[in-house]
Amino acid sequence: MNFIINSPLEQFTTRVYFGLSSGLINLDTITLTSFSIYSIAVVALILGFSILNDNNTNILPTRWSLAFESLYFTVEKMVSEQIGGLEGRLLFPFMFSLFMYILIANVVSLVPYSYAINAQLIWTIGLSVAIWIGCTLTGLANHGAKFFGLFLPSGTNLPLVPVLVIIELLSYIARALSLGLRLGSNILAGHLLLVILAGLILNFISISIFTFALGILPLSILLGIVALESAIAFIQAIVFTILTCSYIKDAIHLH
Amino acid sequence: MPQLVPFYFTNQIFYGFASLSVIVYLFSIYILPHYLEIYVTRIFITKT
Repeated sequence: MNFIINSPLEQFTTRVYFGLSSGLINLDTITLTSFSIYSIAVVALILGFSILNDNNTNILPTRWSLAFESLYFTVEKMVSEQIGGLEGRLLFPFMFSLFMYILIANVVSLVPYSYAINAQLIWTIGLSVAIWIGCTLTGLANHGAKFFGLFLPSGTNLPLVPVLVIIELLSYIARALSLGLRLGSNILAGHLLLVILAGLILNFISISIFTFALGILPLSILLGIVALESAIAFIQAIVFTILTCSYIKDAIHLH
Repeated sequence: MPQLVPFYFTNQIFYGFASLSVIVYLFSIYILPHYLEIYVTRIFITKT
């Protein structure tokens, strides 16, 4: 592994580890790349975490199962407040999986020299577009033509109706991109900041023995930023899940 | 930006959705019902 970073963007480069080829069909889709290895690792970590939390059906929780239960209740409360009812209970496993997947992928990406799955914009935007299409189809299936009432807030004056419908329609379409772009750009910006600052500090402390001693101060600031990035990993997982719940709520209950 | 290389797009979409689907399936069929049983048991013990 090359431990010298030439460009801050180098950490997001996808590498092919095991390529498959066939003269008949294109197998690039299932090639083992950095993304596929890290996505499999995220699945393995989530399952490992869940098995570790298995309390052997004891009523009293252990420390590990308490950690899992607190995550469970965080998402459960979020889903029941936003969606509620039978639909909320049916969608809870999906919401919890989404939350855990984004959280563990963000935490894994904080390990130095690892790969950030959620900084790959095509994946985050692909996920948000899929969720948006799902919400729109659910809304149309549940409410039919009444679903378009979502684009007209109640109590609007008649002259404002055409303008508001266009604005609401644009904001609804923008949801498809903004949900994924928010997650992707937050993770991307955080990792870029860490690499750029670490590079500057490395240059600074390698000037002389005096700057080496003085370098403790910027290093402590960098540690603070790492702590901030850890918080962002959790916050972004929560934000993505809350917004998904809110979009599904709109599709199920309208305004 | 290295993220914008189209060669890897299908690979990323495929593995992303496949891994998320595996997690959704395992959580909804095996893991979360197991936890729900424990919560229901706790509620049963405290309410009776």
